[in-house]
Amino acid sequence: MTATTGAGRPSTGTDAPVLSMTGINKRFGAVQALTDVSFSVQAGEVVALVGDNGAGKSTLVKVMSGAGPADSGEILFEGRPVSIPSPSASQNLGIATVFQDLALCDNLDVVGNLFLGNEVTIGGVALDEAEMEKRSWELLRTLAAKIPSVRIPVASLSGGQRQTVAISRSLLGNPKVVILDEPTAALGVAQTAQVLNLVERLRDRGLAVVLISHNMADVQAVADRVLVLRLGRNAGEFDARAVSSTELVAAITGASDNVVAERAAREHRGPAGRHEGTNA
Amino acid sequence: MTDRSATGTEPPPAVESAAPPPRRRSVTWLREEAGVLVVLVALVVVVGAFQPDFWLADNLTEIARQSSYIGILAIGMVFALAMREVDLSVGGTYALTIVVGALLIRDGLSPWIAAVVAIAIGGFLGFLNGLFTTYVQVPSFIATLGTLSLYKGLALALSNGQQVGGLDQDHPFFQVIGGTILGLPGAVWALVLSAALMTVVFTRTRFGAQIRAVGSNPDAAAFTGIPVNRVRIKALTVTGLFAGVSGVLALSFFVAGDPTVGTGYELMAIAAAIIGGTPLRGGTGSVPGAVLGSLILSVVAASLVFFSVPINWTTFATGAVILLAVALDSLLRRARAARRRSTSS
Repeated sequence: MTATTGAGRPSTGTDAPVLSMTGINKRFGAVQALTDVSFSVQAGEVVALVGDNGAGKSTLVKVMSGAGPADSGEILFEGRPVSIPSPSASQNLGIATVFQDLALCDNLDVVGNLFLGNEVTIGGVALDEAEMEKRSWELLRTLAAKIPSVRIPVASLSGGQRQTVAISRSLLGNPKVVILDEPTAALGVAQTAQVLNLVERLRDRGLAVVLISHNMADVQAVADRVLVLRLGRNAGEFDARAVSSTELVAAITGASDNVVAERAAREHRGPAGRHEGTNA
Repeated sequence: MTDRSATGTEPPPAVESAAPPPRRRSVTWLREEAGVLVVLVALVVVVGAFQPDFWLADNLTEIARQSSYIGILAIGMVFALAMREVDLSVGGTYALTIVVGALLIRDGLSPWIAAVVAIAIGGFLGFLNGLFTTYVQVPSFIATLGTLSLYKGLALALSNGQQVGGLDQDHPFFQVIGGTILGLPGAVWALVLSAALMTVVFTRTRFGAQIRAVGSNPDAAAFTGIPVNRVRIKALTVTGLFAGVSGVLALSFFVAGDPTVGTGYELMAIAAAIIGGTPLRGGTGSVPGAVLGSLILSVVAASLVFFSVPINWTTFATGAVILLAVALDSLLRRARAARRRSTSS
């Protein structure tokens, strides 16, 4: 299948991936979590990483984010071989990760959370509140984020708004790759749409986006390519626009003769030609 | 082809509200402390209405002086509580700095230098608490409960359980710091200056922001690169430092080092901070609130004397006031949070 870039055009193959990984292995004691996994993402592209529980998605994210370095394998960033031994090394390279638990400080306001650990100061000591507030508004406006005020505690924001703050914060360091771990988990329909809108904004800005999700509808809505992991190995790579839910479920589960795949196939053949995403 | 209309090929929605001009956050902070200030003023007015002598300048000045020692301890305590830590050793640090300061002065060291050394010792004791809490990984509640006995015991041992006297009360140190400056006790000026300085540190500096972040979500703070352990140690050092300042101020007024002082001061300091709006859950705090909290405790103690309440009931009354203040504060905060939720949704 032909990989496509963010603009929806077929990749010529000359675009070097921003981040590429080959032969990645990771072991936890007796458990081989990742075996010879390969992965790449280009600028202005959304790559969805899908797989069942225990497939190795979280482990691969930890390798990319520096939270759990690989035992072996090659990582190239903008064509250069790199190692990612720690989260700070990952951030310094230009890889920003938004984890599922958001890592927000509930009682701090939006500004405080956006600049957490990276406060703008006057003379290295005093906080430049006005500058941070101005930059917060600018960032949120460019992302078309719906935040009522940057001076309210994030505890009083909705799930979608909190996710927006977490994603926005990751952009302050001007990263080249943004990894989103289950960004729409536990969100309602409207909030999910808000977050998916944000993912599209990231792609429009030319960022390479890695989206980890269980929701096939979300994946097919925003992804350009879908990479399937199964039992810690590559189990397929698909063009998100051309692949069906049935094919994805089959790749995720390793078989097509299961109830979920059958139901997806039936719905695909349905009278209205309806094609619904399946939660895997 | 997947339908993408729901995900942003249409024009991006506008931000819900246009960026307002940046506003000073001090307005918010003042609003947070307004409730405590109202309680303090109400107490003074009500007690004075029944006991007019309560309003005499000398009495109010004395109340302010008495509250200064707890107030300065409470300022330091805000930094610990805001980080979900607690320092139960401040009473011991307070006693030890008084004794060490008195011993140094008695042995011929300049009181000014002795004061600096005593404050530095307070900071060092706080630093030790920080090391125990972070690297030995003993909860601060347990660690400082142990160091409370340690520091108290050391104060008693160094002074042989007796008051360290024989200090030159005519020395400018005792006359100025222990006396009055522009009609107010030196301790009150120290409280005002400490409160002003530490309010700025807590609300307007990177260190203050880091403390609030660690107290709110240590994992998030660590993930963004904040050195959590270092911040914890620094904050507990600040708490110890202010216990030292409080001890030195007490020494300058009493012109003697009593190793038995400071008993129960740690709980009073915690109470003052909590009354002033620093919650035990961490992540936020109020230095001006802690000062107001200490004033409330002093006003209550003084009013009990005016109403001839038996001495044995004063502790009971203080406890009742603390419970009332904390309950009222909790109710007000819940109401404010509910109002905020209804306006943002």
